Amino acid sequence: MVPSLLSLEHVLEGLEIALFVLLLGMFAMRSLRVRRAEIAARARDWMVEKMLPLFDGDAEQRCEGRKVFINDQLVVELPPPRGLWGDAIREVFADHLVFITGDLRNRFVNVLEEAGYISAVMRGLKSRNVETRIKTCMLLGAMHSRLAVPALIEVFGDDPDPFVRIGAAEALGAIGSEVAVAPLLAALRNPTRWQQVRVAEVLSHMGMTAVSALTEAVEDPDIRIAALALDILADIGWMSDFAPAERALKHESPEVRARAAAALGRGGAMNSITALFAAATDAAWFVRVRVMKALHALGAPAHLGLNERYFAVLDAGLHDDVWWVRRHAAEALADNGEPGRAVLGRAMIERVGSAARRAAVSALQRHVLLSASRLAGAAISSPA
Amino acid sequence: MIFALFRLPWYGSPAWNFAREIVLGYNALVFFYVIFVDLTYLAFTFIALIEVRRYLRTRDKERLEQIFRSRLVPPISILCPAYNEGATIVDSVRSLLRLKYSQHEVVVVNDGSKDNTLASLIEAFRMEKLEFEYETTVPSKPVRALYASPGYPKLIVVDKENGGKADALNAGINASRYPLFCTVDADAILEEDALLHVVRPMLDRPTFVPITGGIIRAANGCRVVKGRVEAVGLPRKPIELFQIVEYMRAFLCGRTAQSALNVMLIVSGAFGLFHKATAKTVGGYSSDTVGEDKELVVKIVRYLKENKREYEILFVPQTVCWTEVPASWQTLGRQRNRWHRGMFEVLYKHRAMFFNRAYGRAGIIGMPYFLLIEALGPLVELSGYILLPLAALLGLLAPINAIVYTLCAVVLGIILSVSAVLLEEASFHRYPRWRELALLNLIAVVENFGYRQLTLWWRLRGTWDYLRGNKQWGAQVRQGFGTPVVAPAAKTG
Amino acid sequence: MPDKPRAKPRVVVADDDNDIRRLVQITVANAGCDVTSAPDGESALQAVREVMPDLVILDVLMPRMDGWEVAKELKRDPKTAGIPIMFLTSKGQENDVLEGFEVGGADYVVKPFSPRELQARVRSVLAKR
Repeated sequence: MVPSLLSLEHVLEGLEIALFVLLLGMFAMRSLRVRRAEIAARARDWMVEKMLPLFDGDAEQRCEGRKVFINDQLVVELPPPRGLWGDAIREVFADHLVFITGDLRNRFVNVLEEAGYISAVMRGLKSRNVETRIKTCMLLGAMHSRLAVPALIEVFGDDPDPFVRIGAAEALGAIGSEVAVAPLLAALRNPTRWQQVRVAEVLSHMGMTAVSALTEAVEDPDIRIAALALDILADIGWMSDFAPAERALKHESPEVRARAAAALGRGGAMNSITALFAAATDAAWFVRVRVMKALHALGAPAHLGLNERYFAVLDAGLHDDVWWVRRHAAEALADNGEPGRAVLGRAMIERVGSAARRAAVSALQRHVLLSASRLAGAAISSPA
Repeated sequence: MIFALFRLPWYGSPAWNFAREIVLGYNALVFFYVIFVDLTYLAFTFIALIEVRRYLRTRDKERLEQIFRSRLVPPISILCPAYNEGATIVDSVRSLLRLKYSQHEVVVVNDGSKDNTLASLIEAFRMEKLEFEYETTVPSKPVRALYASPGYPKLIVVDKENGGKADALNAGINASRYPLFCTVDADAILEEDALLHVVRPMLDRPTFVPITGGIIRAANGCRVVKGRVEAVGLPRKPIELFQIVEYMRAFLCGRTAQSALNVMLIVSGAFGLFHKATAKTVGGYSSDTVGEDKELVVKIVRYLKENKREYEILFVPQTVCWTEVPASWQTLGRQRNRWHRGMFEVLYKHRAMFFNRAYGRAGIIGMPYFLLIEALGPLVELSGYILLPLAALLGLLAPINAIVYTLCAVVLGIILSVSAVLLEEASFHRYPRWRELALLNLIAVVENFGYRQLTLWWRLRGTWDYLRGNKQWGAQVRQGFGTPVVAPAAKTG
Repeated sequence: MPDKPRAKPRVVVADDDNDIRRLVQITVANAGCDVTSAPDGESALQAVREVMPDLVILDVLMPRMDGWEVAKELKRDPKTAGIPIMFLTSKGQENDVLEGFEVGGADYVVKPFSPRELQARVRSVLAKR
């Protein structure tokens, strides 16, 4: 039952050796890491220093292989795109490409292409490791080189892993290639919300290029696609045609109806306001919330002569059963000048403790507070 | 037995032999138990190593920030209960308002503080009392007033009567607007990108993820400026150092592995992200336990399982917040006592889940793990520390045997602690100096001689207090948050 | 190079990211300005009080003190209230832009930005003075 002393001593010995190996391994790992970090830091500093002439937008840049000339003067010869130095150099460029655009970005991309960095990175697309392939897609997207487009399209079509495919789609979108719109829309069918958000983000960054395809996607039979397309259109804030969104207000899924209302509001679809009025009596409360928000965003349609109807709808919203709807209706009223506040005023003389009255009080207070703060801000910023 | 110090008159009698067998058997049991527990933790460390490396490979900070500026990600309400935090609350709130996220609000709940918590907030953010209509869906003590600030639209302060942490959090849930809420201790220091990292699994997984958490570290020894950790460092006092290694073991190894195995049942009260609708459905936090954070998690798991919904509770191996750990033995002892009592309360309240197939892994692995390894561990281990020398003393066991037993257990413990430091070194390496690495390893070795046993003792005391409190009075004096509040006996499980 | 006014205009640049700060610094210097840079909000505030620049360029998300807080602080002090402020914000942060104007920002540049655009905006803000 009790293990014999002899075997236990062996166990103890083994444990001690294991502990020793662990400690040794840890310190070895640390020294290796410190050394690599030192080299990388040196490479980085070197590159950053050498990069400075490239920032001058007026100078002329020319590349010959890894040599970069500014105004016909050799400013830097990049190291080959491999090893610790190559990795560090690539990182420096990738870090900069996150926050620059325009001319300078084109210059950087040109340097990376000429020096063979892009093709070196592209080799990662053939890796067996899924994570490496994803990472490579991200990197290529960040590098914005059109050289990578054919390879990325191929990966998007053929890669067995869905995460890699979506990564490729994303990279294509980031590079801004029009060919990417169709694959990206296809990728919206992906199961996880996170990936949809990522793709959606890329699409909305593409702006106008994606609008017509997205407007079509609103009528996709798959409600998830329709809903997301509406979300993205709302995000871009521009639609070529409001009719699909208006039709989506009558969709069978309340999710889609809600998003359609939001998209119309954000898109500034003043001519669709009557469709929104109709949707204000939707059965699902969160659709009504979105409608109130959209009406808030659009403001009173004075020039259409629909003011009376507008305030009547908001008044009904103020008396809704759901506080969230009441609240948004009240805020819309508070921000809509005298006629809106008159509606709130009427609610204030209702029975004390009534829901509409509480919502009205809350919105009016908030309105007064916010406008006071704006006045104060203006008073401060005008020079004494 | 030549090593025996005493030769007792009944030595060698049948009864004696029987007793000997029993004691030796028990000792062997304890020995195997300790080895088993340590090997479990070692397996956890190994799983955690794989998980963390995988996580780090696909992490991409810049993109994450970019994506989370998108309006398409769900907005988050940060709930920050505060009781007598007047000295630090303004800095804490400022750093909460500064977190990187596309849309979030900060709901500070002043739990009837007796100091200037509310006044300093009102002054610093120029807050105004606001009529604010909202729905009360989970119970809490009466709310006195709500405050909002024209200059800081993301901030809401709820002023309510004192009712303890759980009660304050419930009031926060009621007043919050967004579909997710994140609980944060008023004294916790959040990393700027904490929300970005913990919300990701909620969107990234095909299954429903109601709760996520992240790594919590001890802030002692770090340079903290205006609610932000500026430089990571190690404290001087051994008591704080011990806890740093302990937190590494608990969070880096334990939680990461539990999450990978989908048996997570604990999300720390200092930082956790919850799906609000689910938390509301189960009735929010319970005020009748000192382990309200653990209890809510178990309650949600139970609810989801009873309604046959698939879920995952996930832990992101990413530092999300830093918390000041107790620097005095007395405070630390009280904290551990409370944690342990809380664990027992939760286990007892949800005892129906034990080995119940209906609750899936949580019932088959999760709950038994917490009972057998976490909750009963101190009792078994400490009894071994007492019985083993006693057996040797009475001549039941050769002292050399007793020593080898103990050494085996201790060395295994050291390996465990050192592996935790190794895991840190292989992944995040937040402690950059050589001296710090050496010190952490030293602490990992030394903590097995005394500190671990001491925590076991505190937890044993917790067990005792729980048993006593529950049987004799049915109510306990809470020390958790704010002033002691006597929880009504009727509500206890 | 543009025609130089009597003295070079002074600009304070604050951003916590080294690479961005360096790029902005060089770009603004190429537009013919004297640049002082600061890695966080607090030191930016200090630099502004020392240098009394003609323009402040602030990143919104910075440690210690974010761009809004620095701006509010500057506007509160009558000595610095007149200095125009330009914000660097990230794409898609509509609220940031609104908030920026609310605290008295003169202009904003959205990241990712083109150095040429930045130069043009700096020149136009300086010309308005």
